Amino acid sequence: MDFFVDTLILSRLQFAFKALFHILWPISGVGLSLWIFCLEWLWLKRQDPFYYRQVRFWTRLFVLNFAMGVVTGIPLSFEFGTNWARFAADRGGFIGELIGIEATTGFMLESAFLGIMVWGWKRLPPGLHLFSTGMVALGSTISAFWIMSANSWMQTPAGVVFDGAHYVVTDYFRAIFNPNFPTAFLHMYLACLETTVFVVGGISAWYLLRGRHTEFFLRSFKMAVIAAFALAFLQVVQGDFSGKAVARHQPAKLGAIEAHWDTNPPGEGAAWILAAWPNPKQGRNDWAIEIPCVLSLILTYNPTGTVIGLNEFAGEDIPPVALPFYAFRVMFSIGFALMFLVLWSARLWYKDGPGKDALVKNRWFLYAWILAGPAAYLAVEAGWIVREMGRQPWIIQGMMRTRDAVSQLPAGHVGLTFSAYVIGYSILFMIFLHVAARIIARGPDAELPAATGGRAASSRRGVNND
Amino acid sequence: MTNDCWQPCIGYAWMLTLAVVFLTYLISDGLVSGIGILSLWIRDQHVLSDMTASFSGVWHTHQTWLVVFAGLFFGSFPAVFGRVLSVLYLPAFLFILGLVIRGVAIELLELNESRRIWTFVFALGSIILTLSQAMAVVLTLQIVFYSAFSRPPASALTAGAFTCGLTMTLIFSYVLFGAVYLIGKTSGDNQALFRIVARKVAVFLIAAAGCFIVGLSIPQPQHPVILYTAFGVTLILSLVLLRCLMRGKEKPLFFPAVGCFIALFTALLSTYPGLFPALASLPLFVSSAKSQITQLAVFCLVLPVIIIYHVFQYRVFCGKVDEEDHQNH
Repeated sequence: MDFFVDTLILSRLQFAFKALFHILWPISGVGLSLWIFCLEWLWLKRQDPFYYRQVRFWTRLFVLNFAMGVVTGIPLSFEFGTNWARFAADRGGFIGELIGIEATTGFMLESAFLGIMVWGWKRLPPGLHLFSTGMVALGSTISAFWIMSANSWMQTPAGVVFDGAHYVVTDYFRAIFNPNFPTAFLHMYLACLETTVFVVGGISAWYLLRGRHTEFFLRSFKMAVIAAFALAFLQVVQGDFSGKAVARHQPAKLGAIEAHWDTNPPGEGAAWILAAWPNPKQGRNDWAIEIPCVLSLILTYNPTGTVIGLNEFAGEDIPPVALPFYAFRVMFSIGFALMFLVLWSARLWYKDGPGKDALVKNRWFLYAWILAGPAAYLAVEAGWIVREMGRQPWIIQGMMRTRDAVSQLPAGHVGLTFSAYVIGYSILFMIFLHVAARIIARGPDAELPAATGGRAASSRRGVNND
Repeated sequence: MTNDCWQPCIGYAWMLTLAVVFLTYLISDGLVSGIGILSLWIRDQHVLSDMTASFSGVWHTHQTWLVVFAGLFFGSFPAVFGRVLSVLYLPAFLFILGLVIRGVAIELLELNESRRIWTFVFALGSIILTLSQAMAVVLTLQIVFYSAFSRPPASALTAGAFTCGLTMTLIFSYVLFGAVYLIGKTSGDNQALFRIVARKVAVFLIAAAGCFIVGLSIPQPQHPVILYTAFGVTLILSLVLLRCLMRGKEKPLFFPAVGCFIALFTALLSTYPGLFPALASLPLFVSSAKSQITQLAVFCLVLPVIIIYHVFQYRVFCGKVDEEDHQNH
C-alpha cells in the first residue's frame, strides 16, 4: 500500500494525531485556571474554608493536566520544523513570530506562576498567592489568544504581501486580527470554559452519585450548573456567528461542512442536510436527508438566500467532505445536547425546594452530567477536525498547499516516529487516567486547615488567635 | 529591500539572543537532568525526595525556556529552523522523547507514585535528553565539516574522541549543576554527600573537556585562540570551583560551574567561519529585516517583565528544602 510509504500522508497523520492529543490539555489549562482563580478569590473574600479546599482539590487535577499539556505541546512546536520545513521556511515566518510571542508573553508567565501557585502555599501570603493564580489564568488566556491568531491566519491570511520570495507582514494589526480570528478565538475560548464547567460538574456529580463528600460537591455542582447555564447558551449562539464567518470567508469549507455541492439557483432555498453520503468524484451526494431552505435561512436570514456550493470550485481546491460533514454534526449535536442538559438542570433545580434534593436524587440526571465532560471534549476534537480538514487542500488558505509544505524526509523515518508517538501517547494517556483516577478516588481533604503562608500571614494569624 | 545594511546587524543580534536563550535553557534545565542522572546513585528514599522537592517549584519554567527558544528561533530564522530541524529529525525526536519521559516521571514522583520505578524513569529520561543533545551537536558539526571543507572531520578516532568528549562534557556539566544546586538546597549529611559528588564530577569534567577540546582542535579550527582560551578558562574555573568546594562555600559555587559550561559552549565558535559558510548556504537573512526588528522589539519589551517575575519566583523558592516542601500539592 502506498499509504505507509507516503511522507505527506504520514506527516499529516502524525500532525493530526499530535495536535488532537495536545488540544485536550490546554482546554482545562485555560478553563480550570480561571475556575480556580474565582474560587480562590471567593475564599479570600468570604474566608470560608470550603473554597480553600475546593481550590486545593482542583489544583491537583490542574497540575496533572498542565504537565500533559507541556509534554505534548513541545513536540508540536518542533513539528513545524521537523515535518513541515517548507512551510516553516517559505511561508511560516508570521506563524513563527506569533509562536515566539506566545512563548514569551503567555506560556512563560503561566509556567513561572504555576510553580508558585502549586508549591508556594506555605511560602507566600494569600494575597500574593491569589495574584499568582491570576497570572496562571492570564498566561493561559494570552497563549490561547496568540495560538488562535496564528491558526486563524492560516485560515484567512491577511496583512501580508508577497515580495517575490517571501510573504512579508505589512500590517501587523490586520494580520493578527485577521477575518477569522474574532469568532474563532471566542468559539475556542468559550469551548474551554464550557468544557471545564462540565468536567467540574461531572466530577462533582460522580461524588454525588457515590454519596461521598455530598455537601462539598453539591456546592461545586451547583456552581458548575450556574456557569454551564450561561456558557452552553452563549456557545450555541456564538457557534452561529462562527458558521456565518466561515460562509463569508471560506465558502469551500462551508460547502464541505454542509455537503452542499451545487449553488442554489435564485428563488430556491439551500437545504440543510441531516445526513448524507457525499460522492466527491461526481460532485454530489449519493443520498441525503434534507430539510428544505434551512441552510439559506441560517446563513442569510432569507429562505432563498444564495449559498455557494462546492462545485463552484476547481476540483483540486475542494476539501474532503465526509469527515468535516460528520465531525461537524458530532460537534453540533453535542453542543445542543449540553444545552438541553442545562435546561434539565434548571428544571430540576426549580423543583428543588428546601430539603428535597431533587438534583442529587435523580440518578439518570447525574449520569448525564458525568457523561457531559467527555462529550464536551469530543465536541472540541470534532470541531478541530472540521476546522483543519475544511481548510484542505491548503495549509495556508489560498497561499500554500499542504503537499507543498511537507519536509522531504524518508517515509520510513516519519513512519517510525509516528508509530512511536501513537504508542507513547497511548501510554501517556493511560498514565494520566490512572493518576487522575487516583486523585479523584482519594477525594478532597475535608479537614485541610486553610494555608496562611508567608511571614506576614503567620504574624496576622498570631494576632487573630490572640 | 531597503534595509540592506541593517539586515546582517539585526541577524547577528538575533543569533546572540538565541544563543543566550538556548544557554539559559541548557543550564537551567540541565540542572534538572543532572539531578535525574545523579539520582541513579542515591539509594536513600528521603534524600531522593529532597532532590525532587528542591526543584519542583521552578522546573516548569526551566523547561519553558526551550519553548521560548523554539518559538523565537522559528520566528526569527524560519528558513534555518525548517532546514536544521528536518536534518535533525531523529535527534529532535529522541530529545522530545527524553523530555516527555522525564516530565512524566517528575510529575509522578511529586504525586508519590511508586518511587523506585519513577526515579529510574526520571534518570532514563534525563540520559536520553542529554545524549540526544550531544547527538544533535555532533550531527550539526558533521554537516558543517562536510559542507564547509568538503571532507570528513579527520579520522574516525578523533571523531570518536570528540563525540565521547562532548557527550561526557554534557553529562558531567549537568550532574555538576545538579550537585551544586543541591548543595545550596540541603544541609548537614546530605549536603556533605553532594559535596563529594560535586568534587568528583568536577575532576571528571576537566578530563571530558580535554577530550572535547582535542577532538575539536584536530580538524584545524579557524580560530585556535578561541579554542585554547576556552579550555584555559574552563581549567581555571574548575580549579576555582574545587577550591570553593573544599572551603565549604555554598552560594558562589554555581558561578564557576556555569562559567565552565559557557566557556566550553564558546569553544564551538572556534570553527567559525567554518560554522557559518555552511549556514550561509541557507537563506539566513531572508526573513525580512522588518519582521526581525519587530520581534526583537517585542522581546526586549517583554524581557524585563520576564526577569521581574523570575526574580519573584526564585525568591519565593529560595532557601533550603524543608518538610513543608514534601507535602504534595
